[in-house]
Amino acid sequence: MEKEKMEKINLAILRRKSGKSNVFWEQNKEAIALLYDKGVSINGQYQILKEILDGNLDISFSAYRLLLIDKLGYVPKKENYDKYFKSKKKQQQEKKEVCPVLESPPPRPSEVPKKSDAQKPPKKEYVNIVDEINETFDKILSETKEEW
Amino acid sequence: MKIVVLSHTGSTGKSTIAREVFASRMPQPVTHIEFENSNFGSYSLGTSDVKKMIPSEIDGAFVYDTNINNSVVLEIGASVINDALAEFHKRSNILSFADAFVIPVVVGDDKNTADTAKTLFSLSKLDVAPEKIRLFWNRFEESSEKKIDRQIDTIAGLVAKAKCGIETTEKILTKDYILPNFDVLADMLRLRMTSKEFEKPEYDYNELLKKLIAHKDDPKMAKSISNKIDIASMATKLNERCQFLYEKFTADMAGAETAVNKTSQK
Repeated sequence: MEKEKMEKINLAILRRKSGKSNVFWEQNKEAIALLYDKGVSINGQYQILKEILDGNLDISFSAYRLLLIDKLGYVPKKENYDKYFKSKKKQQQEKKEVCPVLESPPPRPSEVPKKSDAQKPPKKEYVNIVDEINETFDKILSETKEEW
Repeated sequence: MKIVVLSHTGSTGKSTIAREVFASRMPQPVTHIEFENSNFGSYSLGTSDVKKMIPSEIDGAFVYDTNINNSVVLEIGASVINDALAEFHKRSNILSFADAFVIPVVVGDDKNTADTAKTLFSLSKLDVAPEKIRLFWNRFEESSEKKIDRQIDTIAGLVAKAKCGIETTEKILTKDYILPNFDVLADMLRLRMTSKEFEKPEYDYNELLKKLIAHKDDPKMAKSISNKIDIASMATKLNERCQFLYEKFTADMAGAETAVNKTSQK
C-alpha cells in the first residue's frame, strides 16, 4: 500500500479510536442522515457539514468515511452507495413517507438490501483452519487496499 | 507460568523475547520448546536447554512436558506457524496449558503489522481468550513511539474487520511492553548467554575494573577484561529492562487469569 494512503488510514483510525468521530456523530447525526437520504455524495456531505460548522470540522474526510461504515454499516464505494440510495428511495416512495429521516434513526446495515440467498455463493466449509485464516485475511487485506 | 511466543513473520525477536524475558527468569527448571521443520535435538542456551520439535509430533512428549512443568516457553516461528495452527486445531484444548500468548512486533515494520493482526485472528480461531494475549514491541528506538501508535491503529482496523472479538480487548493493543534495540544481543547469542547471567558476581562492574587494574601490564588479559566490561555494562542494561518486562508481565497476567476465570464463570 502506498505510504500516503497508509498514513491516511492510520490517521482515520486514530481519530476514530480517540472518540472524536463519536462526538461528531452525536452532534451531527441528524444532519448526516438527512444529507445521506438526499443522496448527497460522501464528499458533498463532508463539504456541506464543513460549511454548516463554519469550517470547524474536527474529523478528517477519511474518518468521516469510517464513521459511515461504523454507524451506517455502509461500504464506501460509489456504486454501493448509489445502489443503496436508489433502493432506499424506492422503499420510501412505496411507504409514501414524507420525511422518515427526521422521525427515525439512520438506516442500519440490516436494512441495506442484500443479494438473495440463491444468488450468494454457498458458504465455504474449510477442512483446514490455516486455509480459512489465510483466505479470510487475504480478503481483508485486499478489501482494505481497495477501500483506501 | 506457561507462555507461547508466536509470530507469522520471521525475525521479529521471538527467540530473544522467549529467552531473555521469559525462559531465563522463570522459576527453574524451564521447559523451553521451539517448533521447527526438522527435529534436530536440543541446544543449550543460557540456563535452559531448548528442545526442538516438529509440530506434528506434539502428542506424547509435548503434552507431558507442557503439563508436568510449571515453567514453559513454547516458540512458534513463521516457518512452522501454519503447521502448528493446523495441529492445534486437530486437538481441541491442547493450548489450554498456556497462561499467556506473546506476539513480538517489530516497530515500524508494515508487513509484520498486518501479520500481527493475522496472528491475533488465528488465536481467536483457536478459542484463545483475548485476555491471555499481549504484544511485545521489539527493536524500539528513540522517537519511534508514533510508529507504534500507527501500527496499533492498523492492527485495530484489521482485527475489527475480521470480527474476531479481539478488538474489544484494549489490553492487547497497548504500548505496555517495549524492548529497545540492544546491540549487545548479538554478543549474547555469540556467547550463548542471556543477560540474566550477568548478575553473577564475576561480571560485577567494580570487580572487573579492579581486575583490569591488576592486569594493566598484561595487554592480552587487559583487552579480554575490557571486552568483558563492555559487554557486561550493556548486558546489565538489557537485563534490567528484561527483568522489568518480566515482572510487569507476571503481575499483568495474574490479573488476566482472574479476568479469564470471571468470563468463563459467566
